[in-house]
Amino acid sequence: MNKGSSVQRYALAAAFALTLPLATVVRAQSNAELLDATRSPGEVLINGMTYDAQRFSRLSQINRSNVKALVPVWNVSLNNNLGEESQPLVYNGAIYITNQRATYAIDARTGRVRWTDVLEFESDVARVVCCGQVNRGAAIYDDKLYRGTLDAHVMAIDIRTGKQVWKTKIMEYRDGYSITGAPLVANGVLISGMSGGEYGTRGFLVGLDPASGRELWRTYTIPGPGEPGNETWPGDLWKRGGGSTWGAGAYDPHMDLVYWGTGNAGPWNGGVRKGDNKNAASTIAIRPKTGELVWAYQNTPGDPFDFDSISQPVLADIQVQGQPRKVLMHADKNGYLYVLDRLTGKPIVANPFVKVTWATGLDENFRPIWSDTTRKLIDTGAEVESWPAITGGKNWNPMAYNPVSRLIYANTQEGGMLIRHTPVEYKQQGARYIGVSVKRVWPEDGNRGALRAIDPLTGKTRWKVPYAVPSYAATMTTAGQLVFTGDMLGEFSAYDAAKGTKLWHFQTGSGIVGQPISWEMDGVQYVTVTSGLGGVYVLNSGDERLSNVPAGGSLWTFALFKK
Amino acid sequence: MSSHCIVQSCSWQQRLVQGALVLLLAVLAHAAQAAEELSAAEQGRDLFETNCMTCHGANMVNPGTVSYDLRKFPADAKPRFVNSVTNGKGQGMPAWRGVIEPAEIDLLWAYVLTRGKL
Repeated sequence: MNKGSSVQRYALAAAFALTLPLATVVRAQSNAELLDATRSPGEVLINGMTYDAQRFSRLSQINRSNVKALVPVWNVSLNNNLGEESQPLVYNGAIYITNQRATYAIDARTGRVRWTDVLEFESDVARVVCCGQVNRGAAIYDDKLYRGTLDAHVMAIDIRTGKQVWKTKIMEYRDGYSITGAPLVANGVLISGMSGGEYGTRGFLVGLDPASGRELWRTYTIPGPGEPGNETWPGDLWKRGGGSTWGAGAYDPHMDLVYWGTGNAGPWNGGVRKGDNKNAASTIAIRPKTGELVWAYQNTPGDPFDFDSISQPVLADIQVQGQPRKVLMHADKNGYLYVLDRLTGKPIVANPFVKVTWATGLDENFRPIWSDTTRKLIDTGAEVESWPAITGGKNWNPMAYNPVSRLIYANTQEGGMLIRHTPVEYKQQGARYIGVSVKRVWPEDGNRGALRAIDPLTGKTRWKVPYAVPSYAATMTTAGQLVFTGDMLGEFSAYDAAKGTKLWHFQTGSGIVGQPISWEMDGVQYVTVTSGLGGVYVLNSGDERLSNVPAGGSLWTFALFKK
Repeated sequence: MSSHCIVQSCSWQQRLVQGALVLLLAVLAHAAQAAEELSAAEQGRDLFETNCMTCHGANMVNPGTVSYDLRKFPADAKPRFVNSVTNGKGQGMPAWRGVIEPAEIDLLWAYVLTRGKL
């Protein structure tokens, strides 16, 4: 936030004061500000940094020639040992950050905590959290911060006082539902996804009134009887077919469409639910006011491999064969990078960005052509080797798009698996519902991941920086033509966006699995990121190289050294 | 040829079949008993893979930072293990009371004692 934008805000507030009732004047964070996020890069109001979720900062004070002078300004503990996957938000001189146990408001200048709201849970909540007890971010709107909780509530907190305004139960957590993803406010409606695709749940998005927490609509991703696509499920398996919505969304205010990814089909054992299993493992577009499903594109029909499509969609206006196109870009766990027309959901191009053996390619309708090994697994349940593994070619960790370099920057996961089917039985709501056994297969070169710069139209990697231990952190890119991201060993780094040269790094004390941002105050550009190891890889990959990376969450902020 | 006959009227072929059946049953019973002897740890492994592996790792291998490394659990501290599983522990470990029965916790304990090398 610079002085100019503050003046503009006060002028805007004054103008509103002349025309609107007092209740509107005190609204500190409006639709207009959310829409203006692209033009006011000083603040970060949305998960994804702007509605298009490009994670591109227009700030350029920190650039390739001076980034070596980046130094920490402050660090604050987040008092949590289970992992920091959240994206900070910056508004009006404060930074807001969430984790599974609390929400914090932190003075952006000093790093001092202004308020903390600690959550209280029953002692059995973590039973229904498959892959890390984490939270991935919040939304702010109308002087309130909105977040989900592990026990499947969405709550609103007054951003000035830290006092809870409302808390709405979305589902019964004991039935396998939780909330880990960031909500989104679009066209005045608060939208949240949910988690639980491993517990016999049925996925949905829910729209709430931001003022009261009252539920306005609920749109299931798996169609019920009489709805198109229900016939793609055998019997009543649609009732527990997964398709959870545990990632983050994006919004095109001109089309008034909200985009979200849906998770794996359930159970993981694809042999017991033969059919396309719509709309699991899909990208969907909904109308925010009503929740109406406008289109759905299924990335992985009949999902055989836990191929969630939930990593955050990225919206951009790009040139395709000389024509301007409004597209949605998505790097799927199934290893393909999709470019869709975001008005219609029709694919424009799709190409693999990591090693893929589960499909031999896509047909003329962009439908994956199953390889012999995939067919063998589905038909017989016998063990096959397949790439990518259940953790995907890219997991939940959001990617960034730089409109100047026209490249996507993504931390990809590299590896395959030996997978076979095991008996699957639906015992009760909230019980694990899987039916596969998996052993990991790692690349021969020992590198289990890479930071890749990818051309979205070809899927080709322009440059890559390999990781021995893969990174599950988000990427962020800037007008200074830098890419910021962190790794599991704790190093936070800046790379040249054009060449991939590492230009700067800093050891943060724990592993990084979070989402970096950049913001501005009083003419100074800052970069902020969480440190705090957690999430699916450290828990169940068996990678003992992380034994000497301590847990412990904290928030770091950096700026150029003042001489 | 039927194998049903009373002892005196049995042909040598029928006696051979009966003998083979008795032997087969004995072998099967022995095998079943052996399986039962192994089954505490094996059943524990199945329970572990369903409920615990997602945080404690395949074959109990994990770095022991964000979640506990069960391979290090003291072998003489079963009451502490039972208490942690039943009631939860610390920031991360949930309570499993009502979901994992006490007899199943005994099976899990048998698997924990294998240090994942079953």
